[in-house]
Amino acid sequence: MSPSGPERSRAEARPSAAVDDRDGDGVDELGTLFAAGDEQAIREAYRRWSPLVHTIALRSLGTVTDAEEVTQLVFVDAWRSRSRFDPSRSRLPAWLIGITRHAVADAHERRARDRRLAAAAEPRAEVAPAGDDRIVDRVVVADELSRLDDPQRTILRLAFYEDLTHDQIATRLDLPLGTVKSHVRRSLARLRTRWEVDGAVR
Amino acid sequence: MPFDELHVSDDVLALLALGEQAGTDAERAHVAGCALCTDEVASLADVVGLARDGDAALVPPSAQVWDRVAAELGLATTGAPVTETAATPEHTPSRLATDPVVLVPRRRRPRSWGWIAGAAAAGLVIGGIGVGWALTRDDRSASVVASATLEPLPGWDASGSAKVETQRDGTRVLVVDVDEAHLEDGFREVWLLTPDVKGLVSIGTLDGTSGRFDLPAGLDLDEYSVVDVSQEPFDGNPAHSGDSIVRGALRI
Repeated sequence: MSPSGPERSRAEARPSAAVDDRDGDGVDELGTLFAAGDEQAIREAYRRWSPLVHTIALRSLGTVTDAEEVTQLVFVDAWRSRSRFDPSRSRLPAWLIGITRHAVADAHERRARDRRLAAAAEPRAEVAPAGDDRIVDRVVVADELSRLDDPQRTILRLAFYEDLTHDQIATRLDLPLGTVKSHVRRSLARLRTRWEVDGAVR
Repeated sequence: MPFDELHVSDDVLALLALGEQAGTDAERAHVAGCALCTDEVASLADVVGLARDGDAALVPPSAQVWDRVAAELGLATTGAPVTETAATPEHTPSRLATDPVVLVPRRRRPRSWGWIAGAAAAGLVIGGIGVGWALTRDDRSASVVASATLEPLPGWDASGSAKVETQRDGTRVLVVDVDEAHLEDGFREVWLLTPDVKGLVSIGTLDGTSGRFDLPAGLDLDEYSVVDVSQEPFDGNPAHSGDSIVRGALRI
């Protein structure tokens, strides 16, 4: 009894260095331009990651008004404190997510304070910060899923949301079984890498 | 013997993480007894859980937000960035109108996690089990055309589900169930929202924990694809209070 041999060892299956431009081309260059104060860089950063920032805030805070406020604050803050961003140490999206976490936590705190001030008869349960971590993780994974090319994206969506097996997917998309399997493997690994790189920043 | 050959292929591990009963008995036995392979499956299963738990659609901010950012930072507002919206297509499937696909409640394939549960897999997260509903093409008798898992918004503890049924006469009914009957002063109102929460249509008041609501014939569920239940005060103001209890995107 000998299980079939994989092409790679477990250790290699968890690339941490292989984060090549997961958020579109030239993330590192964009980070460098951003830190240097190039105005095109904040436009581009906003274009790429404002949906991510906004969705994290929206899922966490629940109202568009608050989510938009947080989004505005995050990009304003990021730009004003860009001298503290070190592109050689972190990626711009991870840094933006870090600022988003703080802004969301502040918003929750403000709400709690307002509620106390209003002396509401029955204060609602506070939202646990741990829930926010989970929200960020989900949104980061959803963001990366949306950035997959096809057929990879469709394959994973069918597996995730329609619960099809890989052979059902192969039939549905008329693709060879081996192709579907390797797409599943690579795409899952890619989602995980992005999650570890950008979602893990606390 | 190379290190690799001691282990199960990454392809198989990825499928196991998705909940498939992949690989041979021998391979699964190996995974169960191998910390490295078990960790790999658990780690990928975490990602699968995050994806299945989440709402896949990202929501871009409205265009004014960039204007405010640019104004606050004193940037030239020309060439306002158009945000990427690639993340939304699966919630606006055009096939709703043209090719109604019949849905039935998700029936999970049998999952063979027993073998791994006993194998030093404490803390193993298998996400998404029981989440939502799924499409199966082999059951044409059900009339559910879309469904949503309703998740609580901050400050709320409730959860629920919603589905859209098509009646024999072609009319559509939105069925909403919310598990928490606790009611503060006021009432609950059911809405359909656009994913950017810019557009909203009031569907009716929810009395108790479940309700059925006839949907207007012209209402485009591709556009208004998010079910929302709000807490409303008796203040005579028909607008949404902004206090949403649960929300979820309809999946076609």
